[in-house]
Amino acid sequence: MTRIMPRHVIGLSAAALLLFGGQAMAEEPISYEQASLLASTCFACHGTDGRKEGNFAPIAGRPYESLNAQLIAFRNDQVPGTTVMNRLAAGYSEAELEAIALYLSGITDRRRD
Amino acid sequence: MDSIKMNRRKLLKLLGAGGALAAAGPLASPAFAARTAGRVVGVGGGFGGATAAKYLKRLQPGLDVTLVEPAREFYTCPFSNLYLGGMRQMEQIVHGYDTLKNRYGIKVVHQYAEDVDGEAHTVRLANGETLPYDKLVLSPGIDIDFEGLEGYDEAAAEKLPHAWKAGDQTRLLRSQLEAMDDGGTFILSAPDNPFRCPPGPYERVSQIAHYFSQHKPRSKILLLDAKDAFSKQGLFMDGWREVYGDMIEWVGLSDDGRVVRVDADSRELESEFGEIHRGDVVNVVPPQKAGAIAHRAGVTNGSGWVPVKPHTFESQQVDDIYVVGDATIAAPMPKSGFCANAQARVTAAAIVAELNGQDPLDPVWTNTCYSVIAPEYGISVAGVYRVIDGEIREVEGSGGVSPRDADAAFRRREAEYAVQWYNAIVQDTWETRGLQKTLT
Amino acid sequence: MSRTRSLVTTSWSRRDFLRISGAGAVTLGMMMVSPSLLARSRPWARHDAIMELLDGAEPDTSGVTLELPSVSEDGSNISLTVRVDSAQENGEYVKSIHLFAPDNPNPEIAVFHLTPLSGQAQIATRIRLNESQRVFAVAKLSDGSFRIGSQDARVTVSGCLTDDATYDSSGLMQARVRTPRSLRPGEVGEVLTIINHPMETGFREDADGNTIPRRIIHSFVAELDGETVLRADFHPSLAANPYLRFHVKPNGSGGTLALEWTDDEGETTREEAELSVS
Ligand SMILES: Cc1cc2nc3c(=O)[nH]c(=O)nc-3n(C[C@H](O)[C@H](O)[C@H](O)COP(=O)(O)OP(=O)(O)OC[C@H]3O[C@@H](n4cnc5c(N)ncnc54)[C@H](O)[C@@H]3O)c2cc1C
Repeated sequence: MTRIMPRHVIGLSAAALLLFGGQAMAEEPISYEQASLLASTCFACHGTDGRKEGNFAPIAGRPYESLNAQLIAFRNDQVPGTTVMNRLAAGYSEAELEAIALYLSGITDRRRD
Repeated sequence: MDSIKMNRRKLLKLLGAGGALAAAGPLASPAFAARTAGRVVGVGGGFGGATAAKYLKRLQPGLDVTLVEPAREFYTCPFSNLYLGGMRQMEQIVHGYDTLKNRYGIKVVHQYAEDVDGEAHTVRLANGETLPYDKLVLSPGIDIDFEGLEGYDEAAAEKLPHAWKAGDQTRLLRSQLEAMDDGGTFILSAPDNPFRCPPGPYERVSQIAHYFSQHKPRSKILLLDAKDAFSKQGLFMDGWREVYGDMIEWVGLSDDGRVVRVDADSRELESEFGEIHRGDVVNVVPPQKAGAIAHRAGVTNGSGWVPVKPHTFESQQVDDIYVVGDATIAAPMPKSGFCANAQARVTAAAIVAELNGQDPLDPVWTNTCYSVIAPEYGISVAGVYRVIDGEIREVEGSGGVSPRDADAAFRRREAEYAVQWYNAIVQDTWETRGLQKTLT
Repeated sequence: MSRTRSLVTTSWSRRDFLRISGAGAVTLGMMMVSPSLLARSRPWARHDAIMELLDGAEPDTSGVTLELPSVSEDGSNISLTVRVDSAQENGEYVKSIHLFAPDNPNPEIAVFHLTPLSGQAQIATRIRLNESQRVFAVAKLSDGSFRIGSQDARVTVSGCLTDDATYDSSGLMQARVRTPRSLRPGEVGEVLTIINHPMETGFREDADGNTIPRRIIHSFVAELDGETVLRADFHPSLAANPYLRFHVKPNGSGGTLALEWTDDEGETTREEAELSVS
């Protein structure tokens, strides 16, 4: 409980968490636990904590900025040749994608790959 | 759950408990890690049960987690169609429990769970042992509903395999296909909704067409369907025409495709309006219901499936029993391994939160079902799901199927991604490896 | 990038109904519905149609059983069975069964007029539901009294079912019939029928934005040697390719069962089958 929050998280907390489906919510911070739950939706294709490497682009431990930019681009359907990431990213708000990028960028332990 | 409460809770969490993301490593919450209280029993070591056990331990290593599963090795239904098509070996779709035991400290008990006493909070095993629990996770998958189709019982399934649970049934179907003469007819009968893996029957006939086109090119495939519409229908039908010409004929409900009676000895299927179809190899995908233990535990309703609370997948009928995977009524989420795995992760987090006196998180589940029509021809359907107005719904604007007009490179990539997905999900579920990088 | 969107939306709207309601014989593609078309469609009548039928009478709330799946993954085709606990003989019988989906744009689904020759007041069919709702069945008995039953039905579309899933049935107005091979005297036999028809609601537009005119099978008659066994009025909330399971109890030595369907264009299909009683 005494941990210092990284800068990213503070920035994140101010971002609006907009749920889709017309049910607009007020601005909400995204907790660490929520971020890890959101990020875990990547694991079925990218392995636990995104550490599985193979035909997909690696995602664990990549810089936050590039992960975030990539996710937002998928969400806006701006990545040519995308197969499924556009369909999936469209199900998250930008703030949630930021939270996911933040979580994945923090995965540094690669021992269990 | 009202949103004001959610806001306050989240705010508190943010102020008090924001984790240092970079340092967290594989354990999501140091706050939980210290606690030990709690005995969780999981029944079923498939996609849902194994994932739930692993994630419970990841979130709170001090938890006492026991996983009950009779089989020492689990054969995945995903990619069992590829075995039928000759694109995989059985040894490549089997997974064990060693890493879950050794690295995660999960107690794996190779027994069949016979009964659950929801009042006493105990599970009785086939060997007579009784396991107490604070929280129980059931992920027993499906059972075949042998009452649901006239003439189709366990003995009939030895002649007309369903191969809807992978293993011996899958091998039996493959050996029948191998023994069939070129020019023979293969019939698959597909059930009405809901059933395990909505695109499964259609991927299966694609794979069998692949096998026929290589070894028995004069053979025919007849797909008798109890539905007028099926998953990824347009994409499948385009793919069938493109790759297999007119080898596959599909007969829908309105054209009398529903099979109401089977005769295992003569390999005949009778349709609703009395037409008799005889096949050289017949694959009956029968009606299904939640695995027997769910009925024993009293969590199923009249439909034969398990109604659950959307946020946590706790049973609506019995407290402290959580059910994930195919056994549940989670529509619009399909009965897929992908969803069972997704549900298990969310439910593990909900159980840990509850054991620590916290509210569950806002769930998000995803699904991506790949179907491999041919070695270089994959298609997919995806979805993102949340709880909206107290119900599980697909997020508007997300998900959907591969484009109808995609080029060959796109289809090839999706076939490759199917392999990558398989290798990743078995790692996330059992910590095992998919053995092969490509399909060819 | 083209991207196919799923049929699933967060709440089932009237537009969704329009989309599923024609999902019978036509390829939907990315179908659009114009606002003017919506404006012209009927206002949501809700329970008015039921109230009108009852006309002030208070129905008995027991004795009518409706069976339909509690969750359906395809709103365009939901099987339904309705059963009235009543004798079906001269003197005392169920005269008619009326099915309603109050939250559909057309609340009426179908009306079945029965006779003592129907043998048993039980009908199975397939219906369209545009959203989750409570489905009602009202039975009118020969003594003028009413009974009512209802059943909740949730509609959600499986994540693996999507809107390019369409059904092209072949042969408009082509029927299939299954009748009992032979009956013993006094035995009630089951008749099964299906006929290929899109049951166009009149709410849909084709790819070019032109309204597809309403065209449904609106009537069905079953007669045994010229005597009515069952008469049915169909509405657009009946699923494409109308399916019916009903009963017949022939007098004496049976006879010829004649079935006839008529659609909005006046096209008819007639099928005959011998029913032998021995
Ligand atoms: C042909 C086919 C292809 C498929 N392809 C795909 C695909 O490509 N992608 C995808 O996502 N999904 C696919 N699926 C669906 C997938 O297999 C299921 O959705 C998934 O297995 C569901 O997980 P589960 O945990 O609910 O059940 P399962 O994975 O079946 O696990 C249930 C486990 O519980 C055990 N068990 C049952 N009862 C008891 C008891 N009383 N005591 C102890 N243990 C018990 C069983 O032994 C079993 O190991 C496919 C299915 C089929 C049939």
